[in-house]
Amino acid sequence: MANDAEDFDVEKYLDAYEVLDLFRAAHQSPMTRVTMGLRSIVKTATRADPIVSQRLKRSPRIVRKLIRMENSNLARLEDIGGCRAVVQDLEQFEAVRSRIERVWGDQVRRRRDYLAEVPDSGYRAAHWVVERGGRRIEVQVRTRLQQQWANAVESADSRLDLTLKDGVGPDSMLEYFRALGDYIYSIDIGKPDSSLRERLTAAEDTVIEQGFYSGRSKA
Amino acid sequence: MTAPTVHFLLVYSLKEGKLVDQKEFTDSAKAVKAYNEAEAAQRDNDSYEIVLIGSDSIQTIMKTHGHYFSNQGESIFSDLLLPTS
Repeated sequence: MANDAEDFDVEKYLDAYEVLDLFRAAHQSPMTRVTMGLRSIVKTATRADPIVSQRLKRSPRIVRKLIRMENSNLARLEDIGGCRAVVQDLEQFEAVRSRIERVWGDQVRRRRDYLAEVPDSGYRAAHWVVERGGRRIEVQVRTRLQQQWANAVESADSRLDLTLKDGVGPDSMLEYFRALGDYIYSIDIGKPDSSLRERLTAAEDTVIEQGFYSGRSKA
Repeated sequence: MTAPTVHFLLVYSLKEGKLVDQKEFTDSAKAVKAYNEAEAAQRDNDSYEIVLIGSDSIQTIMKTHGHYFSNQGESIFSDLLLPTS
């Protein structure tokens, strides 16, 4: 993207978006195939109705990511097409994870275990990048609680015009979501941790005090 | 039996904090075309989030992409989920 108005080339701008649209559209069919596979994997692994959906990345997010990853290009983005499964608990999460490895192991181009290595944002999930028809598709698996955490981050980002999901924002909000993620994880493993709860309460007090949230409805 | 994929083109208003439009497609190519056009029409307007999500039903999307559907507003998370005692 050109920053300088004098250098701005409308033709180039429109061409760039046309390329982006075409490139993204080419992911739709491979993504749908991966989603079908993921539904089947979740169904077999959990014996429950699969909660799986797919999405094509929004173009403003694609542009933002390209700007953030300097010297990058569209072909290097691996999450233009993405599929997500939400499972009930960590037991189902692990069952799905091992089935993905068993079924797709040799097609996995990348794997990220955000439970083993929690990023600064506090995000937890397991991700894979698999290849279908020459396109890379990202697969995400989250527990119900991890999904609720992610919803809360997305909501805060939308409401306050922040990018907490990229790990960028006011320190108090980053700490709040880290503390929330850690506490949620202790619930997910069946051991709600009272010291993590206290840390979360303190973090909540700060973000309420700073006006990011209105307050608690319950005492 | 595999459920067919239904594609939902969602328009979320950041100002209003809620979905303001929802279109449903069974034809994948038409859905992508509508997505491209909807984004192009709002290219310089960052008041909306436009997204194309596919699944077996809108109910599933509410579970996988819940923030487009629940208006959490300024409520602190533990009010919504976690007992405080």
